[in-house]
Amino acid sequence: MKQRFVMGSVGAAAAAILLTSADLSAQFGQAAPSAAALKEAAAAPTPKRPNGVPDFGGIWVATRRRGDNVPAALDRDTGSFSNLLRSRTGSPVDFERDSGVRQRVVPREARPWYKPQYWERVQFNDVHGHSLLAPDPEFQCMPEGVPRIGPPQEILQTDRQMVFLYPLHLRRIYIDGRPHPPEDQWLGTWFGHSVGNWEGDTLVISTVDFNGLEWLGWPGWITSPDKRVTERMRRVGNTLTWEATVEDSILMRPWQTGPQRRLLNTDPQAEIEEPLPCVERDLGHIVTRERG
Amino acid sequence: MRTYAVAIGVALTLAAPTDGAQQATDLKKVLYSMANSLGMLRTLRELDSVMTVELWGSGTVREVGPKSVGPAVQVKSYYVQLAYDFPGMRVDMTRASGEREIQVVSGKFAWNEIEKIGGGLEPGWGSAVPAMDAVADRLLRLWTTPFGVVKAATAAGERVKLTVENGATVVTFPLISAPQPGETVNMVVGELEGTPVKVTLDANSRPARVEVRYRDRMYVTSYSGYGDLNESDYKADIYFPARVVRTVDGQTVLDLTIEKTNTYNPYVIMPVPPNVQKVAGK
Repeated sequence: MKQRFVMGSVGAAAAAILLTSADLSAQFGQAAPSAAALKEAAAAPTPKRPNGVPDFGGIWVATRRRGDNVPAALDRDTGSFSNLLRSRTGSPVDFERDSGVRQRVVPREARPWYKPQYWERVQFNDVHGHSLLAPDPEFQCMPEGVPRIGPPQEILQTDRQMVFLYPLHLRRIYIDGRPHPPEDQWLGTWFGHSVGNWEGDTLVISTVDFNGLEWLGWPGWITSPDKRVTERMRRVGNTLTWEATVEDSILMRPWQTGPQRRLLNTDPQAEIEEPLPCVERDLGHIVTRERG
Repeated sequence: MRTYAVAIGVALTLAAPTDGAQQATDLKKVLYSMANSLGMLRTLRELDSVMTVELWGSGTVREVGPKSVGPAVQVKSYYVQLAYDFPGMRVDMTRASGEREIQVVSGKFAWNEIEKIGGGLEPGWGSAVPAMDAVADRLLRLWTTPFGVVKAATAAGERVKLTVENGATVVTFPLISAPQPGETVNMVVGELEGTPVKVTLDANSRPARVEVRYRDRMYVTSYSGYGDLNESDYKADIYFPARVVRTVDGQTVLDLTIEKTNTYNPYVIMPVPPNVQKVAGK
């Protein structure tokens, strides 16, 4: 039953790669830009807006041309899909187990250090992340929150605000100097309230007012409504570097995501396809706690 | 099946005279086979992917004093966290009498947590008592676990020796510091530097007996009944012994039955409490 379920999900998994969440990128090994490509892109001039700040506008992920959306693993001669499962044996069971073991290999400095009173809860969430006992919100098609959603796929910029577009979501970053609303007016949302300020050519985004339901990451990494996120974004030529720092009352120390880099898509004809809707149909069919 | 084939191949090879190059090849095969037979190598690249482990068991323990061992005490709960990346270990045992003891080692620090796991890290959340004299013993217990000896032998590199004793493959090597922060192993051995370890493998290339002579004492740990001890709906194909027996100078100081493991690299951290850092810094 489990094998049939996973095999049936291979196509969905391939499609999910295109949803470009940070977790899925790591899971499926989405190709990072090559060093040569980054060097060339960084050498391009950094455009500025009339008010003197860097122009972050553009599409910051690779896109495919319309009609060129055949999965790489499809053999056009035979019409068969080759094995997409990155496990030693290629079997679906090993795919789950290999991936489940490997995805939890997070170096100590890269793990959020929770206060000890939260350790058991994190462990429980990790073990039960794909069950109704403690489902990963992302697995239920809930918004990823910040910073789990990662850098945006596309940015629209005015002098007043930046709009970050993600495959299924958007965020507004106010850059007109306004402060966060007073705490008694906070709403408690998935993406919070974001304001941005320039430190030289670096955009520093402060985000507060979360609902505390979002996770920082796949292995059960919870958050609280006290979470405060500081993102730093810098454009150099046609490259964009993004990283985030999380402070939360349930953490012993701030947690950092580590930098992620994106290349500008310079194709004037580039388009972003409508993503598949996220519809959760799996929870009721999962018969083990293995997840990968 | 591949594990058996490698083991048999190595055994046959060892029976014949070998030159240096052949010995090196055999060593690589044996180390590969040890890791593979424990399920440590994952993904297409066969990376060592065991970083943290939890295990639950029960049995008897005897306290090891400087020159003697104490009486056997029943332990109704013996919960262990292993973190090869810190490296660290936390042993939380509850005796039949209800008395609880939580021993921790993290890198070059050791302490006992009072009342709660993580005691001493946050105000009002238990406390921590430094136990710096226990660092070497606790690190020795970590590096002589089945996964620990594979990682330690791999770190020893060319200093690993291979022999055959009574038909069994025997791997010997010194414990060597080889800090690798960010990897699934961070070989920090402290005072154990250079301590020789002798590992006798079973027919499946898994550690069956680990012998260490340290500070004029002989520590022997025997492992048997290997299996995937994760819960039935949470299997990982990573193998741990169901029975662990440790002796010091021939006297049994630990006899454990392992009832359950979590080998999916669970969330396990061992930050050093401020008061332990302070004492250790003096």
